[in-house]
Amino acid sequence: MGSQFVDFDGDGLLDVLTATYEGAVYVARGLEASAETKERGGFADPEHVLDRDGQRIGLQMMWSLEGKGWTDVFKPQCTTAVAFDWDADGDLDLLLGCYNTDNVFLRRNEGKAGAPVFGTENEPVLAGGEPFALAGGVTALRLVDWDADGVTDIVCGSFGAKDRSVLGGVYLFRNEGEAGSPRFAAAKALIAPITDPDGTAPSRGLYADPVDYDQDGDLDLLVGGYAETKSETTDGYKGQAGIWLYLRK
Amino acid sequence: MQLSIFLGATLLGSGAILMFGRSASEFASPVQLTSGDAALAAKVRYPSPRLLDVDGDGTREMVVGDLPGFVRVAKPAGGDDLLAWGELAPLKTDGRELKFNNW
Repeated sequence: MGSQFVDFDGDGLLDVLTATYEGAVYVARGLEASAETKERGGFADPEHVLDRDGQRIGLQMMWSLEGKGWTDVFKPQCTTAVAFDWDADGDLDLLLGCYNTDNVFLRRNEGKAGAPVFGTENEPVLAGGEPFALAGGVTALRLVDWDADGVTDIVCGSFGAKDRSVLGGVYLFRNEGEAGSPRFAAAKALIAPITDPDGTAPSRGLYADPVDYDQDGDLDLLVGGYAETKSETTDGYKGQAGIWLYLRK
Repeated sequence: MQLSIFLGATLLGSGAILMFGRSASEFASPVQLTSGDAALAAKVRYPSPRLLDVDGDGTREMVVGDLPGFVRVAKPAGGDDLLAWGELAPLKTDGRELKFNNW
């Protein structure tokens, strides 16, 4: 579960936005700060984010990539969500990621800042002119201006394929468009999948956070996941969870 | 600072960088975060880290989401070791743990 800390409802307080393996989007709204400590007031109980019809937002409806219209013939599972002003109209839209079909979709906010009204349709997001796809499945979408060109890029980790044909990595989808009309390039590996895990670095379930960890002015990568070693288990490997730091050189 | 030890250890004679079997990249070799004598988040299922000041105290905390839907927080351990963190504890409001439903 990758969480985004963002002022989702425009009240000046930090909220937690996420999606879980339930397949729907949640927000835990920030609470007022304590007058005594002046620290943040914590978070209310999570609630589903709903569309204009009162339905939970997820990926149950998707656009036929063959151009045949909206369809629900298969059920991609929304497991990551981030708020992003896709069209630069001042309110936050949603990007929804899917671990089992590797894709990302846009859910537009037809309301306004502080009063969101989400549409009912998921639009496929393209990368490199093709439907966004990440072999091994999307873990958590992260929004960041990775290359400091003034527009928001996507950094995303992957789980790794169940058949181990590709293990987990971390990828950059560079935004080659501009504010209000994002256009993402094809995936570029920031951390290429390991081919022979030896327990020294994560190889499955890579959740990345692009952040200036050492505060030297560039973005590093914090990566949660599993470092694997060979074992007598069913797939021949066992994993140990942890968090790794990849410092930018 | 302890980080410099790990950075220097990966420099090759040619100036290229070896990443534990990976090809050269723009990152130094990965180093694991710790909590006490153990790896940070070693018992967390599919840990998803974020580094931010979640409580508004002016210091960044390590915030870790997990597969079951919990959110945990660790404070920096302090000292010169930037890889060292305190123990992960549930993110609570008025004694209630923040928990997102999951299945």
